[in-house]
Amino acid sequence: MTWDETWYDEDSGPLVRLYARTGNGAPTGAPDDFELNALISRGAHPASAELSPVESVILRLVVVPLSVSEIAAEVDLPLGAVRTLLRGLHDGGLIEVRRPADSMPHVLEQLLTGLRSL
Amino acid sequence: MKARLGVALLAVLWAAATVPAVATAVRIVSERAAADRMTPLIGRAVLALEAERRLSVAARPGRSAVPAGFAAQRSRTDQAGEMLRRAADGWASRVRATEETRAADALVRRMTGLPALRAAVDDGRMERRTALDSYTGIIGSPLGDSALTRTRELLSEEDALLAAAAGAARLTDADRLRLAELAGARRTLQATAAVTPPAADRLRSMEDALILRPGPVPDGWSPAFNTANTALWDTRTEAAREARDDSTPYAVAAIAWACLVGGAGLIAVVAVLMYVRRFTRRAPAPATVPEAAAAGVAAPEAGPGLDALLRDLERRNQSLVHRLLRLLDGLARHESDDETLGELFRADHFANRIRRNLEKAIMLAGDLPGRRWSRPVPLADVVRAAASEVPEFERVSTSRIAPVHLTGAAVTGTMHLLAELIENATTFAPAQTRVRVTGEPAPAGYEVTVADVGPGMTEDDLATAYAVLSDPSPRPGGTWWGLYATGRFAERLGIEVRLRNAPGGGLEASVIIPAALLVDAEVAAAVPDDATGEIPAIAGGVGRL
Repeated sequence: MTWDETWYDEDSGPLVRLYARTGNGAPTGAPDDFELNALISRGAHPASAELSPVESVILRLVVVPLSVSEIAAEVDLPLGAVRTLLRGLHDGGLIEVRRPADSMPHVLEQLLTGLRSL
Repeated sequence: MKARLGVALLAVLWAAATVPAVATAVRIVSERAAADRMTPLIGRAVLALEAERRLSVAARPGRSAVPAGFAAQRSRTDQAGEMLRRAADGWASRVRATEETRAADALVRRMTGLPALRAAVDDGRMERRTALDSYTGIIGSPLGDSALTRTRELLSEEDALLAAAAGAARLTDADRLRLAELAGARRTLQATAAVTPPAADRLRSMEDALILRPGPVPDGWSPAFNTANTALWDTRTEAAREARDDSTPYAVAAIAWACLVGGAGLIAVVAVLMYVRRFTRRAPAPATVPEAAAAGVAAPEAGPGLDALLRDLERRNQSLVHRLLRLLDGLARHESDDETLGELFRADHFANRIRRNLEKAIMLAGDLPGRRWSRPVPLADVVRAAASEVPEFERVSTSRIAPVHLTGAAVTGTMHLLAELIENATTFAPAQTRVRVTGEPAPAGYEVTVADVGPGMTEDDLATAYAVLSDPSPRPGGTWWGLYATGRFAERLGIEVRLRNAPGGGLEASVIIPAALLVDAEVAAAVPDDATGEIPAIAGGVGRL
């Protein structure tokens, strides 16, 4: 068996570990509204300086409403970690969550109107 | 001689603590691995044997009419048995016996009776009922005795019994008696398991009719049986999977604990060995170090051989921790369960702290750790990495770091230096209070400040602290060891550390990083390929906060 002694740059692994990038602690596992396809958009409250870099990135991303799974892909974090971050942002009024079910009647109504106008 | 004895004792202590922890982790992991691998194979063999049992006892008026697929089913059974035998042999010899491997072994042993049974079935000497019981005996209950498992097995036996009777005009009294036994036992177990398979009512009414009045087996039996059998099988598989998933946090915790005990203990042993070695080297100046006289005795024994051995251990430990962290990273990225992810993050945090101790010991001994950077790295990442290395990293706020890059060669030293100051701050400030790390350009380069809201330091303590920062050897007793390491790392990099009581209370530690170790964020941005694996948006986003 060989024992490698040195790892340069990327080979040395992420400098900031995943658990540290999610900010304040581990996922809590509490049930909530943050399903994979729930839509997240920017809330009314202004951002404070206490946000972690990942949280700032998320806030910039959701200027356009984005699903939870898309956000996870953008920031390259596990879903559980993203849900925890979103929970914190939601508690602070920084984001709003729209359940996919909420948007369905609206979409169907539009579809119906579109079909009628044909 | 004394030193050698001490080292031996330490090693024994370490082994005594590590062996049970590692043994527990190995047992849990090997049990899970065995269960994951053996259970589907056992299940496959059981289903194959049940299918063969049904075909073997099915009524065949005229011996020449061999049911279609009879030979094919036998070869399928043989194949399933062979796969199980190979897996059981492989596992039994490598890992300790578990419930699953024992069950597999027993089933493989029982299946050696198959050829004789088949021969008897083929020349028609054997009563169908006897053949049925013989097959049932071979199958046994290798999937456990849970009510759910047994419910399905009994139902399958009922089906075989009815298959045996299907060709005859009606069931014999003995058949009906046996059916009543099986159906009764199955219903009791079904109630115990609290399951109601689909078609349960249809099965029940057909059973009742057959038990009460002699008659032909109704056509509806087979479809109803198949539906119920499939549903029960799926429910059982699902229940087994859930039970296994429930145990995941325990397995993760056991592995993390083994790593912690083994890693931290080994670091302690290595650190003590290095301590002895350093004193041995400093023996020419015994006046300042009274213990050196005693340690000096060991000098002839601690030769270059021991030196090479310790370096080899260092390398191995680094490599192991490196691989452990990489493994944990991969696990965390693929974990969808929030609770398990939390456990994985805790294990990751422990492993990261072990790496910190290991790299600290290597650097204090004057060597370079294995992690190195050839390209500049955002200082904000170095600060966050430092914060993540302390026990209470959640209390550290690192959101105000003006963007700048640190040269690659200074990354490890600066990170561990900051970790020492941050850990000091979290230790001495009241629990629940936050420690703020900020950074901005300064006349001499760049200033990182670690500020807490603790009681601060007395003038005497401040004087001692500065003395410790510039002292090349540590003081006895652990109180100042963190600052001692800070001083060593700072000296090596040409970094200046200042301590002062903040006007509003609390201690402020300033770390002045010289311009020679810095690269402008714009210049660094021109260097292709972000060296930290972070997405570029994060590094760039810090400036706008």
